[in-house]
Amino acid sequence: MIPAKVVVSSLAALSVIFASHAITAKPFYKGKRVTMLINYNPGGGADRSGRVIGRHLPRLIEGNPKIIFKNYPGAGGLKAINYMGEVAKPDGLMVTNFSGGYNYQMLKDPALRTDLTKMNWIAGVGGTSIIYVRKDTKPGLKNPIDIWNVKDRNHFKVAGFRITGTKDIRERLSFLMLKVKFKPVTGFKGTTKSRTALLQNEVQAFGDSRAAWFKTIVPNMVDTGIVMPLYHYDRFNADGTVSGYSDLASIPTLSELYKQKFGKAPSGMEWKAIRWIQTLQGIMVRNTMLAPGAPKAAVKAMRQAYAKLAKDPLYLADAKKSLGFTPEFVDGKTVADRLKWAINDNKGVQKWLMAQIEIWKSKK
Amino acid sequence: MDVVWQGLQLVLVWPAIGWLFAGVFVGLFFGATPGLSGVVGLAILLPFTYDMPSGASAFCFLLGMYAITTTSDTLASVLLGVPGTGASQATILDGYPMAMRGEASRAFGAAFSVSAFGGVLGAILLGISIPAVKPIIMAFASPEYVMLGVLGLTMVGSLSGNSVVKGLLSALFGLLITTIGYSVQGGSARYHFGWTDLLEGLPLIPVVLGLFALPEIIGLAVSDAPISRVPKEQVKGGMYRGVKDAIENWWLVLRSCAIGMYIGILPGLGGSIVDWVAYGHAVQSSKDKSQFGKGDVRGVIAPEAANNAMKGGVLIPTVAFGIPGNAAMAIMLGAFVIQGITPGPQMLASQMDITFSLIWILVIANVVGAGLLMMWGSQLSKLTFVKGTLIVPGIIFFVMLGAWMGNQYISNWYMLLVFGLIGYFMKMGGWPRPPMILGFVLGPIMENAIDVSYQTHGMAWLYRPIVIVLALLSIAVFIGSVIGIGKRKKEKFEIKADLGMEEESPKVSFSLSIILGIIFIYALIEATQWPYDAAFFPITICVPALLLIIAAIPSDYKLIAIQARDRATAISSGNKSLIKSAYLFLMLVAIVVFTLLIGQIITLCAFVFLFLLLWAREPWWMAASQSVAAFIILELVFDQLISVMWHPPMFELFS
Repeated sequence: MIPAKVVVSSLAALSVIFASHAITAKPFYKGKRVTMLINYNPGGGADRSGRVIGRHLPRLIEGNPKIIFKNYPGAGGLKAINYMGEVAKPDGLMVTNFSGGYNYQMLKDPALRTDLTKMNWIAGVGGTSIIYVRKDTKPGLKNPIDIWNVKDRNHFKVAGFRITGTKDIRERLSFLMLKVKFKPVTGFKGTTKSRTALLQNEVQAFGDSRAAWFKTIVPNMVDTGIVMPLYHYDRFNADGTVSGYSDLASIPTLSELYKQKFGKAPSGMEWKAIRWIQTLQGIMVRNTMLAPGAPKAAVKAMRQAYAKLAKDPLYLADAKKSLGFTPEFVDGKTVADRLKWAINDNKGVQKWLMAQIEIWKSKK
Repeated sequence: MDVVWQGLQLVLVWPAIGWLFAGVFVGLFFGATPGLSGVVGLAILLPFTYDMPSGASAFCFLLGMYAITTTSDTLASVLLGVPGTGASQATILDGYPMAMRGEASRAFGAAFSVSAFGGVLGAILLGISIPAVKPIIMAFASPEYVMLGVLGLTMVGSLSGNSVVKGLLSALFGLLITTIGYSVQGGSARYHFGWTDLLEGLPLIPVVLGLFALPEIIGLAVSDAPISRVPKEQVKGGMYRGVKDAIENWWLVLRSCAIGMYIGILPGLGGSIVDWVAYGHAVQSSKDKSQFGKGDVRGVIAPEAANNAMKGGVLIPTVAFGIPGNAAMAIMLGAFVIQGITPGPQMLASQMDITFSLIWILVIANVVGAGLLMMWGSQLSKLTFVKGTLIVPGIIFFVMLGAWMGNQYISNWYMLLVFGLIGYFMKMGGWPRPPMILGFVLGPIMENAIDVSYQTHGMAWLYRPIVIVLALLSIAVFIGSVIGIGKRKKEKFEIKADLGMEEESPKVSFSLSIILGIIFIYALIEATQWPYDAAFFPITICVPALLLIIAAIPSDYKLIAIQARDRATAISSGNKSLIKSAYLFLMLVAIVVFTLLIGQIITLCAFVFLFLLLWAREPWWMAASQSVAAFIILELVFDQLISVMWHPPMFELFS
């Protein structure tokens, strides 16, 4: 007979071995190679921000995998999104650093062949845009409030890319809501052409990201007295409130500018549509996902790594230096929840905006 | 003057100078390999500069690499008839025929010396132009871009050989295919046949490779002869003769540099135009045009001088205003930001030493790079005397990879094959191909500029002074070209502004006219159903195209009737080579099919092996060694270094 003491202690020892094995189990990403998929060309904002993340992420992911980058541009980032939904293996080894993309699902683009709400969301980075205007716009502007002095829409042309793009949509909705006399000019191929057109006085206003604002527009156009900021888009918080961005405190938000003119908070369909778009823009300018069906261990490890990244001083300093601002991360669950809210709970706004876009197109 | 020397000191100190040489070496590779380019190189190298000790080191590495890609791209253009980068497309028109005449060394001598000169001159002009350049950039807005496009299109007359009608039709077809995909407003999807890949338009490189490279490769494989039709021992002159050609044509070099420089200055015009404009100018301004397209060294000198001079030009808006002139400069702008430098007026005011260091980098990189290529050029040119079938798999390998790079879609290969067929039959029918590319590169710029001009200025855009001047210039150039062609026809000069144009088949030409007619009619009917902004440009193209088709058909029909009377020509030999060409084309189709099934890496390596073994009848060890070399290039360079997205195969043999 084996004494009960021996049996009990053996079982206890075995359980300790199993438990310690579970604890010291090989991390999911140990010895693996992760591909960071970027949905725009090398050198662009998505590419640069992705490559900065990729420099720090390996040391923050448990298992310290190697990260390589692949750029898969095309159709405004759509090709890569379809790739993640249709082709990418559910092995957790392909992570994205996408720019936008949610707009295709919001506006029911037939070319989108995947459902973004089914992705494994890891994190998002929010952002806003600053709309700036030439100071010599007739009859001359000194303060944002002077924009209402413009009497002829041909004197205030706003540069844009595509009628169906979220950037153009937001700008049109804003000026419609503000009841400013403006003329949208679409078809500029990228920010370079738009900024050149603004310098040439072909157009009088344009919107740029925070990074571009601080690194390019302020030194080259604001400090040289060519342009002044008009407003930046509000941050739409989860509790329904709106606020501005702290590093843009000297520039009014859209809602503040509206209030300054009309004495009340903005409302109406235009504002609802801006809120709808900007809610996602505010958390998903850059977004990170794993393919549907990725192992839970991969999702967990990647989410933990991005949570560490968001507070990592080395990364934040690098980002500040390389991108011009400190990215504000949102966790994957929040991204998934907001995306579901935008897609499933805003059918009325969606329908209204899509009809509006058709009207804009027909007026072209 | 002090800042000039301070700029030089920044470059000459260690480790900056070391990084400059490293950049030059890497740039030689990125330029010489079709499909890679300065932009790809910059994107790959940018992360390596994050931790560099100084901005000068980073700029030496990046700009040194970028500066030299348009010098080394001549290697592929001359030796293989495949443009090394988008900026050396026009070089193949005369560079490859020179190689066919055994004059690859001469072409290299001319190209490398003018590239070095163009690069240095572009850099010097960058230095002296910065204070004066603002008015130029400010004066050229969308309306002026429209007229620059029109002026560019007048080059069609110079690139059309003896048939202006076919040249114009070719250019109009090039313009029409640029309307595939989303309209400039993005509201309307045009001619996409439900295929998502077409929504963003046709990719430039696969179209160019298909039109120009594939027909030559097919010819090389079928003939089984070396690229050079002249035995090595009969070739006179070499690198030195090319340098002498460059010196003798110094005035053309200077004008081409000026063209490159000013095209570079204007944001958004881009490198894919500069070589065509310079080439067209060389043809237009030459008294004796008879050798263009057949190996005229001036056809190499002009684009090669211009594309290097352009590098100085594109830096100007980047440095002076913080506005990147092209995609490469957008990446450079990122490098500036990473180094804590903000390009623009402030940099010009307070960091002139850095600005001058950029100029010195361009100067040193161009001289060093061209010097190295001069040393290796003679050895590389020996490739043109090797048996053709031995190098065909290598060329196809790089052409396929070149077409794949960029957006990395399988549709790029479909386009390569489609435009390969179009190019093959255009060549057979005597249709000039360069005007089609000219239309293709100018189309998007023109449509976009017309649209924006109308939105911003209404019809008043037509009355702007520079627009009027450019319009008058365009009319004068076009009339001059037409008169020139008339004169040449009278003098019975046989000018072929197309490479390797051999016996032309009126039957093929007639068929092409009919097919083009059907395409233009379809395009016109389709366009009438779109909103005005989407329909305007295609309709403007289709209407004159249909009128020109009506003019082209009778002359081809007459030629067919004449040929029918004289049927004693050796048809059987022609048929034989046609069948062999079809076999090779089927092989290319098989590469695509097997890629879909088992992936690119295995397929391309297997193709190299099987082609050498079965078509070229080479021993197995030769086939195996080339196949292994292909595998190493694919794995190490394209997969590991560049991280290319391969097409996901249906059956994964290895994971």
